[in-house]
This record gives sequence, structure tokens and C-alpha cells, in this order.
Amino acid sequence: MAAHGSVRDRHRAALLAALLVSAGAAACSGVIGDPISGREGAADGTDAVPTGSGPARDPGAPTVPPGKGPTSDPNCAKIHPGASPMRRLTNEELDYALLDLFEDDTHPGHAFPADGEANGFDNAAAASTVSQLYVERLQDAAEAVAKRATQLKMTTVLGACDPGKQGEATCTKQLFAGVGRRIFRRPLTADETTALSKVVDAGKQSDSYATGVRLALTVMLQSPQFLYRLELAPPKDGETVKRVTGAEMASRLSFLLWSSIPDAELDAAVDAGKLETAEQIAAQATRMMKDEKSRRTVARFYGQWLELARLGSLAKDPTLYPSYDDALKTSMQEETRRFVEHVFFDGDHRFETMLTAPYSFVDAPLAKLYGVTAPATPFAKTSLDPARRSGLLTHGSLLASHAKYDVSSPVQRGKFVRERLLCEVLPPPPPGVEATPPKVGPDATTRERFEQHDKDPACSGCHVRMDPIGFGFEHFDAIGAWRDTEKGKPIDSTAKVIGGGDAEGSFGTIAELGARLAKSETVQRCVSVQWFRYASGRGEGDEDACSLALTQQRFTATKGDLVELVIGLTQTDAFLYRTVEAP
Amino acid sequence: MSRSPLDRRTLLRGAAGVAIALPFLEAMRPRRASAAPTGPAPKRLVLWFTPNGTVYNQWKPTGTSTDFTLSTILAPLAARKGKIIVVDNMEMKRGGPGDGHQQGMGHLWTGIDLLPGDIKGGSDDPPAGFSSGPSIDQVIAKEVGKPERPSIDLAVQPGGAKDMWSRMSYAAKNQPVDPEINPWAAFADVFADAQSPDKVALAKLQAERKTVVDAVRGSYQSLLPALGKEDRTRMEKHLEAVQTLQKKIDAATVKACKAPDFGPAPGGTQDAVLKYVKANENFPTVGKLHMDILAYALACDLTRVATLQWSRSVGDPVFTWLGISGQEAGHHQLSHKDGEADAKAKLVQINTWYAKQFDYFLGALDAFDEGNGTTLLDNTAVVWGNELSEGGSHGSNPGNFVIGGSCGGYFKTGRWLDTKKTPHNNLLVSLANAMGMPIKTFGRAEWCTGPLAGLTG
Repeated sequence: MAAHGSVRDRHRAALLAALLVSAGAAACSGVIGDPISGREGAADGTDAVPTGSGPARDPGAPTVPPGKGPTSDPNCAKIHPGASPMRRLTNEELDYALLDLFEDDTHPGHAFPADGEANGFDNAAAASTVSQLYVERLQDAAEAVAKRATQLKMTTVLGACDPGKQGEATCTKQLFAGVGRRIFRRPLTADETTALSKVVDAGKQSDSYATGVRLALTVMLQSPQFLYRLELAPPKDGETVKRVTGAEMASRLSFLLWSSIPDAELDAAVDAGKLETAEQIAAQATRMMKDEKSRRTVARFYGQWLELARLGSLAKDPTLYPSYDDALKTSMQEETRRFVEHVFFDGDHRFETMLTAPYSFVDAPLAKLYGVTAPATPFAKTSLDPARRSGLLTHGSLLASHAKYDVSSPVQRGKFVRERLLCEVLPPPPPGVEATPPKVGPDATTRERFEQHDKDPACSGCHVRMDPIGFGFEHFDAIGAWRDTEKGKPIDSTAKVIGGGDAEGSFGTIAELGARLAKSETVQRCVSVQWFRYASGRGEGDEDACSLALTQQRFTATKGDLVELVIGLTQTDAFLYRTVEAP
Repeated sequence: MSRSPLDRRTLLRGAAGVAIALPFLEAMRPRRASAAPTGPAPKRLVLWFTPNGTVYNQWKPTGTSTDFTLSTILAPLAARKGKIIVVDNMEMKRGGPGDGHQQGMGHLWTGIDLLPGDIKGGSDDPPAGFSSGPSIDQVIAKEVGKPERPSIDLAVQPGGAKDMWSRMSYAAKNQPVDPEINPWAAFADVFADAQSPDKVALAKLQAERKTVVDAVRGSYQSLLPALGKEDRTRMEKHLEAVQTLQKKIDAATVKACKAPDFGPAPGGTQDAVLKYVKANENFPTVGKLHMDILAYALACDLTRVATLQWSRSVGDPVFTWLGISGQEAGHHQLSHKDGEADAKAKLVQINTWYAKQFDYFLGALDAFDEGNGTTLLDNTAVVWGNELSEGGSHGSNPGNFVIGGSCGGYFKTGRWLDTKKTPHNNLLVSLANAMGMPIKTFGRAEWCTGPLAGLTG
């Protein structure tokens, strides 16, 4: 490593220090602390929340159902929703909304500029910037979707209203009260119907009533009321924390659980004033988690949490891995999706199963990769050798996406465990460091190569957190196939988690690691945090101590029930309330 | 001015064997493309990016500042030496957050730090590590560009993510400009109206769009007062983009440009086209289509400012069309190994190929006669920059740039300028000056000492 001391390096050191402090982790070379940002205080029982702010909690409105967790957490004395930034529909959410509105499956969002990412999720408010290109592609999409809907699926636009029979004025009212309300996700205001009626009239004057309807739809699909999740119910004087209204709650629920707009039942609950109490909201969430549409969200969350998208463009050395092609990559992703959905919806819902199950859902190419007999029906539930395969951590998708072109990567695999399962933050290598793995003799195994990190103090500070975990995955090559030897030497997969709270300790197999991680409160808290980030579209802060504690407690109290975890998110201050931003 | 004709009708074979016709540049020669009959031709600016550093000792010319020989990498520009400036030995200052690639990309056209926080990190600070200021192209586009189309921004396979490695142009702090990656979409956006055979239908579409965009603009405007400060700032940016769209729709009179024949997109469906556009082997084809669109759009004066980004910082395309393949053969992977002879030879090949593309583009511009003995190239500055100096060091110095064209006679071309470690912010100031903006500083103030000496006199 090059000598340091330049201004740039000092800047960099300061930045790294800041990153690590904000992450709640000590510097790489030192003690490894509580991983989750903003949670140090709460972890040791002290009150990390500024108690002076926030309205007092109404004792009559418990945030969790009785018996599901304590409401006596000191962080929960006052209501703290944390920041509530305005969120834009992601490209995928926009596509699902168009599907649910008009049965339009053209997914125009595929051609939009990519959504920005933060914390590994594509729905972060701060990263959802809008560019000129975005606005123009949205125009294209709105025009095309409105045209198709009015030509092919007019009932999705006007319902049963026939302008020839009931009259145009009636049908325009229906347009606004029906699909208009679904697009805006609340009843339209008088100003909005006035402005849109003018568009209908302009279209009619230049061409026809149907054109007017099409143009009004085109406007609505480009409006902020569709594109952004607006929560603008006016606060009372001086009110800084406000309960989310029924209509706002319907959108919070539907985008969290379905990645799309509310359905008729949610809208009806809003209209009847039955989406107000925490119990009513939990009941709707429970219903919604039984709907097929919740599979969208679970697939999205897991794909992003497990960083599986990187598989899409990842090439492997064809001479070493001739079986690795587009079809195998697709199978790998399909396997993980099916497995996750099985555990979540059809199986026992338990996080432990995710990390330990000795079965999966494979087709012929994957069966070959895993060395088992292919099931008669592709992706039928298939038993696997429990000594080799144990849940997500041994899926080909995860192993291949966390490996290099031609070799496995203890660094990437260890980093995955640290960042995605323990919620720690690892800085990138400092500048001037050779980013390719250390080179030793040509006969050295991957493990021997990477053990060089241990000998270089410039590397070992950080790599001690990654490599010793990653070595435990060394039985899996760069595409996730099992191997007993490498370069003629038997695989040494002894490994350990150094630091990481109650996840710390040695392990010999990934099944052992998975079982340890599943039982670890540190990991359970991290899973809660990851879902929290996804649900709230932002990173967690000190103010979220109560929301996070309640989510995690419910998750732990239900023995790691993932559906309960997700429903629990809807019972937190962060979900039930919003912080009113000063104008 | 008479110029050698461009290639005759070029036929490229698409993924599915579909022929893609690219005939339009030749159709424009030798007549001035835009219909404006009098006055000096407008000045244009194109920022051009290739990643991962060059091989400096094979890039640097030899000789004296006015009598020099181009080295291997820049040799494809030899015939055009009188119309370029090799801007050598700049100091690209670095500071603030980010590693070498991130800073290099973020600073290249902005001259200012990235915002704190890692885009994928655990920080919950709102800015996710984009630039803390606008890039010079967007500042110029806003000030002297066409209001209805301030800039056209295209990229060749910049990757699927929106982050500081894949974005070089910024409308404002934390406002990255998204480039179009699909040449067929860009073509439709720029030329479809001009191509439409049914002028009645076109007029009707434009009238409809005016009605719609006016109502859309109104929906954003009426919402602003209800928003909190941060949300309002975001919504104002969205509104600005809608207003620019409205100007574009209002200005959509069809120019006296011959409608080019671009050919159908391969595969037909949106997903098939995107797959084609993103496939490694189509990198050269997509680049050429982008270059042709830009040349034509500039010739027709549809925009005054453009950017073309090849790949992205840390981009790893495998240059199979140069015979490069095998293990760790991607551009970025190779760039780390520039100490090894074999990798270094490949990096020279790659950067020479980029110089050939640069030469093709300059040639395309030079084929348009703009009157008074000038060509489109003479009235343009095409500025080629890189986020790094060399790949192995991942350092940014010496910074290496090439300017093609004199920007309406503002720059004195035909020279190799040793800037003696002048901060590259000065070059950005000079670009604004050349485009008619008399600014004295740009980007981070302490990194800038004024316009770059030696470019004009």
C-alpha cells in the first residue's frame, strides 16, 4: 500500500471515520460495536431518543396488539415518527400501478432512467431524483397507456358508464370518481375536477369526447398526485406530528405490501372511516398479506436485500463454468423467488427456515448444479443434502452473485453477511490499494490467497470482518457448485464470525452459520432494520428507536415470523404518523 | 466548403439480422443543415467521456506545442491535427468524499466535491453521494442553450444503476442528468416529428400535447405551496423539467431538416430493443448511432449542448471487436493491470479505438458546411475527458483532454498545450467563455484561478 499523508488521504480518513461513527461500528481495526446506526443507546438500555420532542402517546391507542410486545419501552414514551419525506413511485411500482389500473402489462418503467438506490433499496426518497429524460419518458408512457386504455379497456376508465346513454357529464363524473380516484388514491378536489374537466372539454372540441377522456387520463398519469405519495392533510396549528389519514394510510399499506395502488376494499374502508385504528390497519395488512399481490413486494425486497440483481450482468469464465448461461441465471433467480415465497406464504413463515431449510425448488439445470435428481415438474419442492444445502445462504443465486468471474470470493460473501445480515457498514478499500486479490504461488487455493490479507496490516483491519466468514463458503465455487477440493487440496472451510454481537463464534458449515444467524438477536434486529428501510424509504435514525424496537420485539416474540414482522411495521410510529415538515 | 463525403449508406446487422440503415449524414452534406439564412453560425459544445484512464506515455504527443506528432493513441486524429487542441498535464483536484473513480467522475465536469455519504452506504443523510454542484454543460445549456431543448445527453451502456459512477452531468446539486441509452428512443425524441409524413396528424398531436402539458404543469404548480421545504425543492425540480417539456412542445415547429431514415429498432418490442442496446457486442453500434444523432441534431440546431458518455467510470465492457477476450478482459479490470505488458497493449488498443470514434464524430461535424468558410466542427467545441489519468494508479493527474473544433474561432487549434498542472476547473471556465458566458470561476473556488491560459491567444 502506498504511503499516506496527502490532504486527500486525510480527507478520506475523516470520511471513513464519519461513516463508521454514523454506522455505530467502531473503526475496522478496533472493537466491533453495535452495528445498527443510531441504536447504540437503545441497545444498552439507555434512552437514545430526544425525549423533549414529540407529542405524548395516547394511552388508549396501543401500538401493538396485547401480548405481542411491551409498550413500556422507554423510547416509546412519546410519539416519534422520524422523517417522512415525500416518495415517488419507483419504476416498478409505476408498472404495477398501471397493471392494476388498466390491466396494462407493457411495463413502460423498464425504459425509464434507473431509480437511484440507497441502503441497497430502489425506493429511497432521497435517491429518487427526477431528470428531463424521466419527465419525457413519463410523457411517452402516459400517452401510450391512456390510448390503449381508452381504445381497448374502456371499462377500466369509465366503468359501466356509456356516454351515449347516461350522457357525457355523468360519465365524466364517473371518470373522476372511479379511475380518477384510484389514480390519485383519494377523492379528487373541486379544483382538480375543474382543471381536468377543461381538458376533457378541450379534447371534445378538437375531436371527440373519447379524446377528451384520453387526454384527461394522460394528464392524471403525469400528475404529482399519481406519481408521488403525497401526505398533505393540513396539520393543526403548531402540530409537528400528525396521524396519517385514512386515504394516506391506504397508500402506505398498498405500496408497502403490494408495490402498487390500493384496491376497492381499502378504498371502501377509507370511505367508511374504518382505516383509522392500529387494529383496523393490522387487520387490513393481514388481509393484504394473503393476497397474491403481496408476492410482488416479497420478491422485490428479497431480490434487493440479497443483492441478486447483480447476477443479471455477471459473467463467468466459460472455460471453467460452461453450464453458467442465461438460462441457469434465470433458474437461480427463480429458485430463490419460489423458495422465499414458499417460506413466506405457504410454509412456516419463519426466518430460521430461510437460513436452514434442507430443501429448495429446482429445475433440471439447478438439479445438476446441486448434484440431485431433477424433480418431475420443474421447480417442485426438492430435498437437498442437508450437509451441503441449507437455505438462502447456499442458493446458487446468492453464491454466484457474490463471487468473481473465475474464483469464489470470501470477501464478497463475508461482506454480504456483515452488511446485509448484521447491518454493519464496511468502507471501500482506501485509494491506492490494489483491488485485485493478493497473488501468491499459482498452486495456492483461494483461501491461501486471501489469507495474505491477514498479513498486511493495511488490509487486515477491515478484512478481519469479512474473510474469516467468507472462508466458511469455500466449499462453493464461483457459480455455487459444491467442491471438496481446490487445486488438489482439500477445502478448509473452518470459519468464524469475529464481532457481530451474539452472532460471534466459529462455524464449520453454512448450515451451522445459518442456524446461528437465525437465532441471533443482532441478525433479527438487522432483518427488522432492513424491512424498516424498505418500508420507510430512508435510513433509520435515533428517532426510530421505538419503531424499530417494537418491530423487532414482535418478530422475536413470534419466533421469527416474517409475516408478523411485516405486519408489525404497520403498527409503528413511523408508519402510523408523519412528521410535518416546516413550509 | 467541400468535404469528402461520409460513408455511403451504412448497413449494420442487428442482433436478429435486421438491417439498420444509417444514411442520413451523407444526405446533409454539403449543405448547411439549419434553415437560418444569415448571421454567424451558433456555437455548440459537446462533452465527450471515456473511462478508466488512458496510457499516458502513449497518449502524450512529442515535439513542440505547434509542431508535434501525435502518439499511438491519438494517431487516428492525425489528419485533423489542425482542428484539435491536445490539453495536456492538467491537475484534476480532488477532495471531499468518494474514491478515485467516484471523485474523478463527479468532479470531471463540475469541478466540485461530491456530497457526503455513500450511495449504497449506511448513512441516512439525504444526499446519496451525487455531486454538490452543477456541471458546466448544464450551466451553459441553461444560460445560452435552446430553451426548448437545452441539451441532448446520450450514453453508451452506462450500466443499469443511477449512481456517481454512471452520471457525469448535473443540472444542479444532487440532480444528476439521466442520459438516454437507447438510440432509437433518442432518435424518436429528436427527429420523429420531423419524419412524420402526416402533417395534419402531427399538428393534432402537438395541439393535444399542449393541452396536456399545460394541465400537468398546473398540477405541479398548484401543489407547491402545500409542501414542506425539502419536498418543495424536489417538486420544483420536477416542475422545471415539465416547463422545459412545455417549451419543447410549444416550439415543435418542424425544422427545415431533411428527415433522416434511421431504420427500425431491432426486435421490435421495447424489451428486445433494450436487450440489444445493453449487449456488450453492440457497444460500437450503439455508439455510432448516438454519434450520428448528435451530429444531425447539432447540424439542425436542435440543441446547442450535448454530452456523450461511453460506458461509465469503472465500466467493464469487453472489447471483443478488437479481439480482446478471456479472463479479466473487461476494460476496468485491464486498467488495474497497466503495469503488465499484455494488459497495457490492450489498453492502448482500447484508447486508440476511442480516438477513432472521436475522429469519426469530428469528421461528421466537419462535413456540415455552415457558411463563411466554416463547418459545424469549426463552430463547436467537442471536449474529450476521462475521470482518471491512468487506471493502475487510479490517480487523476496528469489530467488529459482533447478539444476538437475552435468553438467559432474562440480557441486556437492545432496545438499541444502543456498546462503545467493548471487546475482543470480553469478549462471549464474557458468552455463557458467560449460559449459566450463571461464567468471567471467555476466549481470549487479554491480550485480555480480563472480561464485556462494558452487556449485562445
